Amino acid sequence: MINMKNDFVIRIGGAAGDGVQSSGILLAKTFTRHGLHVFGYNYYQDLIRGGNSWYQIRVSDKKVKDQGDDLDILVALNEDSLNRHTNPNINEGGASYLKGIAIFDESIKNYEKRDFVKYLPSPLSSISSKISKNPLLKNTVALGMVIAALDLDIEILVSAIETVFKGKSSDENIEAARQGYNYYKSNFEKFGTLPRNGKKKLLMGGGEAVGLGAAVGGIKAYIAYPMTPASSTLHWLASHSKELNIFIKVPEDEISAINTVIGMNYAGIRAMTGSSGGGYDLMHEGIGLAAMLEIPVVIYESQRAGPSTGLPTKTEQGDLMMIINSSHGDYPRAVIAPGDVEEAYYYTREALNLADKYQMPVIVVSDLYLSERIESLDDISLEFKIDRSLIAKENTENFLRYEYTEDGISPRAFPGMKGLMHNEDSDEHNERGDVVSDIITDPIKRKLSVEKRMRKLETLKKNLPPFKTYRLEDAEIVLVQWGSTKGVIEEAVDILRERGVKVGVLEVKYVFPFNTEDFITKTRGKKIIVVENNYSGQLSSLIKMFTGLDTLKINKYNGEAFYPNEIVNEFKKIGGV
Amino acid sequence: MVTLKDYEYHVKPDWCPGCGNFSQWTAIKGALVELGIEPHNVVIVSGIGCSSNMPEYIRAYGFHGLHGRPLPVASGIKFANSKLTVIAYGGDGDGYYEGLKHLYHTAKRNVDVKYIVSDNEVFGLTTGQASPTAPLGFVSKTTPPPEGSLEIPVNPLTLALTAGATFVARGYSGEIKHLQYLIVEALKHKGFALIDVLSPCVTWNKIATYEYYKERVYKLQGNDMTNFDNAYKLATESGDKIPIGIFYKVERPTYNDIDPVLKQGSLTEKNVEIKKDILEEFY
Repeated sequence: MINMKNDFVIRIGGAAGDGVQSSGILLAKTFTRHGLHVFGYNYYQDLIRGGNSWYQIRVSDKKVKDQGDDLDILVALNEDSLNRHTNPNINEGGASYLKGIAIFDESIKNYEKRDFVKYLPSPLSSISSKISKNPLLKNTVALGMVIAALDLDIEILVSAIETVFKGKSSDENIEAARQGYNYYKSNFEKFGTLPRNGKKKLLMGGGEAVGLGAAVGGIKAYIAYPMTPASSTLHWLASHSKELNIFIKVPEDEISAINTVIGMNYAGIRAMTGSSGGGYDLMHEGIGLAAMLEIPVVIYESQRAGPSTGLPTKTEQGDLMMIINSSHGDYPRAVIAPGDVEEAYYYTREALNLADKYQMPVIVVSDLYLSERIESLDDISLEFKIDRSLIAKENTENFLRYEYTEDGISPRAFPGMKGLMHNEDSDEHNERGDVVSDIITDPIKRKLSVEKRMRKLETLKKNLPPFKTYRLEDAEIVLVQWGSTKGVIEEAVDILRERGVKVGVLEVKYVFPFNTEDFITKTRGKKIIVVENNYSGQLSSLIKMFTGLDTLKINKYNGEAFYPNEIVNEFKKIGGV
Repeated sequence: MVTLKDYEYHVKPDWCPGCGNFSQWTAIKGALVELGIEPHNVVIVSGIGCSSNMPEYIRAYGFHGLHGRPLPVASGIKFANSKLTVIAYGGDGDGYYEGLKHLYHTAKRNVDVKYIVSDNEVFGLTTGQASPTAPLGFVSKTTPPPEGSLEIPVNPLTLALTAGATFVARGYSGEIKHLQYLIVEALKHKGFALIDVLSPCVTWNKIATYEYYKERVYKLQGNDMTNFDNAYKLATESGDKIPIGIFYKVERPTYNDIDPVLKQGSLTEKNVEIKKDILEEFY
């Protein structure tokens, strides 16, 4: 019996160290080389060996926006995975159990038979052990079987292996894949087929997209201390450091990272730092410093479930309030939250122009669900105008670094430039940069300087783009989201629309400053439900603060990302229908 | 030709009359003039404390940042533009309490910045509490009698030596000419340099006074500056005899010299070029 779907979810389950993630990425690349769309997400724990982890890939000929509700094909690398993912009472944070085929080694005998599962015990180990001693080779045998099950092209898997393994063990992996493919073809019927669009797709991770966006956005240095899930960007940039001429440094701590990056931007180059919430905590004083000295700085914050060490490998959107309120004092800043891999690329590079223009800290907020996912993309543009904005001319007479201008933006000057020597000071200062806090405090200048800095925020507010929306035009109910939940909420809306519910999405990219007027216009007369991966509804509170509007809330905070039908069910529960 | 006038700023220091920081102010400007370095190529980066107000009083590029953080900022500036003369400056509280970790790591990286520390054994700006270099038993508002300070003081010189600093010196605010000589040598040195400057706080420290140091300070002469063990031994001398001068000076490649990207030249002079084939790996 052939499955007539054109949208499949494949899960590779095993223990840490079993090569779950690399098998998942290899399979995803095989799909995108078929011209298919994918979405991949890693479910893992904070350990290097053992435990229970899995990689989930959803594949379709149409754009897939999330990891998907169903589970169609399971590759179980151990007994635990086979039992876990076929159990209807699976308790893995919203993930569903298998209704389809299970591929596993024939040596696994101890499992409970479910009638909604077709069990395909196979000689994964005996095939692989005849090729080489490499225990991970059995994964590739299984991937060959998956390709056969979906009636796809084994030669494309072979080419993906050649790229990923780059010679070192590609021959044995190719052999393993071919034998797995042939074994499936000779012993089982195909499980489904997928229409092929021909044109290869790009396959990119969220963290990589931030790195690429930063590179195209003109950074010449990325200074960061490793922390999951922000490290994928650091790793990608470090592996391209020489070809891109981007200086990479891991300093002694995040305090050093932010201060070093501020020093670099002060000296006239674009430099960025990034971390997760815990590392970002240490950066607050630096963020206030950048604001006071009006030095542009872009910080990438990829959230994980907190507080404190929290769940190091699990997702949450719990840092928004902290980010918007970073550091002491009243000062301008911008907070941007891209919603998917493509946006992570575009908004990161845009953040760099924005920081230079407004000479203030700009924080790009992601989370584990976005930073560690992979998505297929049709194309992305490398065309980008780096706009350094206002820079003084050398030997300007009576140069005023902090000139009180109408829009609040004053010209910068970099050390090495002639005739523009001045002091940039964390103490309150006047237009020239001279301190007005010592000896006799100057309340008049203090007021003018505060207003000058805050005018930049007013200027930015006026230039904010309108909110992006999805199927909102005739909607009676609006789901409001920010960041990584964009795709899954859009799919939930598609499901509800099919059932005749008039619902749409309003997507908040610029969380701060907030486009209050546009929000009020776009939500007028509609019931508002804010969907967030946190307990307290932080965006919901901000909306109340910025607009005075009350909202309903859907929240998830168990460490896992939303699933589309989970949102649909919650929507029904709170009376959305 | 560069003259002292070029470094004269319209803002004048507000330190207490007699403060050791005045001598350092004079010696820094004097050293820059002596070496003919133009003000627009100089950045003075400081932290927080009385001494850290220094960049406000010198006509150059000034960066008055956060408590304890002058070295990360200074490193960032030097990483970005290797052509600049970068001086980090601050007090002992700034550098040896809040910023100690940065001192260790900047020294071991051998970043080509010069770090001058005005060491007066107290927190001046917050009214005289014991600092990390205050001696055991030092009495202050936060270390009341009879016990006084219960900690042994930080020895910045042995610390810098252990960290791998390539230039380690001690100056004294009562010896301006000698201090200027030390700063000139530090500026000429290629690599990280620490100059700890014994600097009397005339308001809060009634022990480490000019009179106190006058009787004890002596200038190092003819010491083998490349001998680590000897430098370390000299750095532990205290009590009746306090050596000033260059304790240690060796050559080692700077961070800018060995980093594969930085050694290609100043980042400020480079454009990052993104080639279309960057996307290849994603297919």
